[in-house]
Amino acid sequence: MKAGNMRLSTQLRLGLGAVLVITCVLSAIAWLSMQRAWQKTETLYQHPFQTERAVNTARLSVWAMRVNMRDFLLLEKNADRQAVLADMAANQADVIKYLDVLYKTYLGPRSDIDAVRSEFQEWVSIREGTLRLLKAGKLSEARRRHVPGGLAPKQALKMLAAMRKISGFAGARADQLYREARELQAELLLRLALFFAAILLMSAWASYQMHRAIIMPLREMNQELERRQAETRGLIGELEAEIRVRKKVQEEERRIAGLLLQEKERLKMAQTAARAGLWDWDLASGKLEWTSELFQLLGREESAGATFEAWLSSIHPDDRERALAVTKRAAEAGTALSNEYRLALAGGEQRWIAVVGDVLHDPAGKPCRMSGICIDITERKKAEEAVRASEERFRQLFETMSEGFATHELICDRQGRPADYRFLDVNPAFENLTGLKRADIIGKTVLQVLPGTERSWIENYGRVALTGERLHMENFSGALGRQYEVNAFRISPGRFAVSFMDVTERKRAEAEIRALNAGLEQKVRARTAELTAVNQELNEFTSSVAHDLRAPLRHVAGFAKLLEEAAGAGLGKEARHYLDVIGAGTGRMGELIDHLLGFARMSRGALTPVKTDLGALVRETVQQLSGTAGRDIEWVIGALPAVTGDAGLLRQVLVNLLENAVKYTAKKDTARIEVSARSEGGETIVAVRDNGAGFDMKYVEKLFKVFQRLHSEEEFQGVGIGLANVKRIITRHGGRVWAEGAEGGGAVFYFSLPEQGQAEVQPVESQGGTEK
Amino acid sequence: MKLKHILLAEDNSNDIELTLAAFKASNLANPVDVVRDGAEALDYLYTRGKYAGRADGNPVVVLVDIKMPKVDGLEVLRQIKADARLALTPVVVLTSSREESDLVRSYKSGANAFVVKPVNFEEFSKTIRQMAIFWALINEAPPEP
Repeated sequence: MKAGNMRLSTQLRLGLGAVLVITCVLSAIAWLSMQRAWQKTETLYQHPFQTERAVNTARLSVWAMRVNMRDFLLLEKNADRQAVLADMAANQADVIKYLDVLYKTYLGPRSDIDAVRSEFQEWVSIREGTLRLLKAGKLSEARRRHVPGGLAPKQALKMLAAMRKISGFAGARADQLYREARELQAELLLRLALFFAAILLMSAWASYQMHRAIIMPLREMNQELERRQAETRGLIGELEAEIRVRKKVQEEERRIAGLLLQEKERLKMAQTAARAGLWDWDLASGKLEWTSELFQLLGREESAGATFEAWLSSIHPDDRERALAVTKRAAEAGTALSNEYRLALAGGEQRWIAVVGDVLHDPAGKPCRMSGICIDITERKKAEEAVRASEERFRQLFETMSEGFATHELICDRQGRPADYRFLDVNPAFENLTGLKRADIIGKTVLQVLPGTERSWIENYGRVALTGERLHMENFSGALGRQYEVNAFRISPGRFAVSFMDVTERKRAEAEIRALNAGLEQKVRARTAELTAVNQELNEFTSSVAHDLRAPLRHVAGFAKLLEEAAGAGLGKEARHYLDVIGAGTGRMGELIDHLLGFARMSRGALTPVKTDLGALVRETVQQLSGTAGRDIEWVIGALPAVTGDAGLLRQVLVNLLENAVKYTAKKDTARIEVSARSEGGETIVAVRDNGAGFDMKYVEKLFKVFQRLHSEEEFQGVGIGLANVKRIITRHGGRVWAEGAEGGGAVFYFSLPEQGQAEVQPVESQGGTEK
Repeated sequence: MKLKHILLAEDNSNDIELTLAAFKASNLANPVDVVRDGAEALDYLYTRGKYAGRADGNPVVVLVDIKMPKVDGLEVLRQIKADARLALTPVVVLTSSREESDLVRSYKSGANAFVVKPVNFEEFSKTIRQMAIFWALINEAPPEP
């Protein structure tokens, strides 16, 4: 391809070079021809005119000179003659000048011009002779020379004739030149025609060459290319088809591989799930194959390989002989295998396997191969064992239970209504409780055994047997004369079981207890009424005592004071002290009495239980106490619930407890009092915790008693009735109070309130007589 | 204008003495008449028996103790308030201790005030003084019937 290209370009270059050279040569020839034609034409064009003009001008000048001469001859004055002479000299110069021009332009022979010149010279010399004659004063002679037919005109005619010759030649020459020019034109045309013909020829040749050198190879190349393309396309198509086929094959292979893997995986999963392993035994070669699950099942290493001996040794020694015999028989007789064996596993673990297999025969009918599956059936064995044990237990229970137990079959009438039932089985307790003997009643119906059986029994049991609804009832059997507590349930449709107890005795005892209880309740009511009355009396007594104690006390205090005033300045220091002591004593006693009265009041008033928000009560109380405490106390108030109780009394409880907490933290730098509540066992338990003086748990019992104090009056003021009040109020609400503490380690006071209002409703005087 | 009387109904002589001492200390000019039980109080108010012919009109205030022989303070109160001629006379129940039932009954019967006698004499004295000043001086007495 490359060599061809080179050749082609060289050819092209050579061809184009040749065309260029030829074109240049032809152009040059044409150019020269044109040049010549042009010159010829120029000459042709200019020659007659130049010649004519020169001749005519010269002729005119000659003519003018003749006129000049005549004038000269006619004129007298010297000055005029001089002017004519000058003009004549100019004309003469013109003649000479045009003769010189003719020399240059005239194409004819020079002799023609020379002839004219010599004639002219002759003419001039005649004129000069005349001049000389004139000068010599021979005027008439001079004039004669110039009259027509004189010397001068004759000479002039001669000169003019010579000139005409030149004109004639010029005309003839012009014709000739025209002809020549026509010839040249014809020649030029011919040459041009030749030139164009040559150009055309060359173009044609060049085109042909070009066609041959470029187009044809190109066309061939194109054809070749197309052919090759077609070929390539064909090849590509084939290749694509091939690729498609291969892809399909690959996909199929992959799919099959996937399926195989899946199958394998599935098989593996199935084996794992079923705790099973597969085996295959070539009887001829003795070659045994196990799946890895089987190795695992038998507790053997896969690397140890599968052998019949290995299998046999995996079987429990007690089963080994049987396994060997069975397998041998199967291999010889070609019968299918299905046996269960225990395994001998490391660690003494007891497992069971089932071996199932079949035998393949060769064309001769001889067993050649066995294959099958080993399945771990331990769980099934265990379940079977459990069922057996359960049945055993049930049987024991059945035999030994104290309740009577019987299974029955329902008998229905034509309308499908329960009509009777048959005894299927009864336990020993049944015999004891009913006095019926098992042997006498099994297979018989209840109406056969006890014709007096009430319809209600049959109907109730019928419902159990038909609907599956359980039955629990107490019923009296008139037929047996006993009261029974009965449970009945359906075993299967139409059959039911009955367990029962003879409750005749228990019933009797219950009735007795009920009677006793009724009496007891009556007594309790009476006693309670008594106690309430006594309590009331006691309260009234307390109130009355407190009330009556106040009057004398006031008197003592009052008169002591009056005494002090009456004595005035006369009273000694000591006496004044005594009076002070009396004053203080009475004051304190008054206080005690007030509290005692308060306490008595607390015990008496009716409770008006309402829903009370403990949180709000605590917050109000804390606000009051914070105002009066006169120091910073850190209050921690938890979430407190609403309770049911007497709002006024509960407020009193909180006031007492919180006042106590404030009081006993007085000596602490940072008092901290915490109120919290929790719900426990149907009670709301409220705790008031402080970090104050605390108390000795030894004396905890005294805390809630009237006028009992664990601290001296000097240490902490108080009368010792607040906590007694708390206890009384909470007790009346059906709650409890208790406390925990340590000396110097703070104290916690708890009270509980029932979440369902269980507060007492105590009769008060104004509501008296409501009790009957 | 003639000063109106104050009636004190009190059975205990010690209390009478102490009350009078307190009145004295209060520098109150109104005369204090003392009766020793409820019956006598009623006689005084109705100007009968021992008090027949008494012409100083209704007292400016009646101070009555609850526990008294014969007719007790609450009964006296009830009778006063039930009688059109006496009903407007202010009655103050004086008692040794604040007993809720007494309090309720007193007010229900129309008591104008209920005052507990403090044990401490200074406080007692102060209480009596304030009460006397209020009823005798500050309070406008009802018009005579």
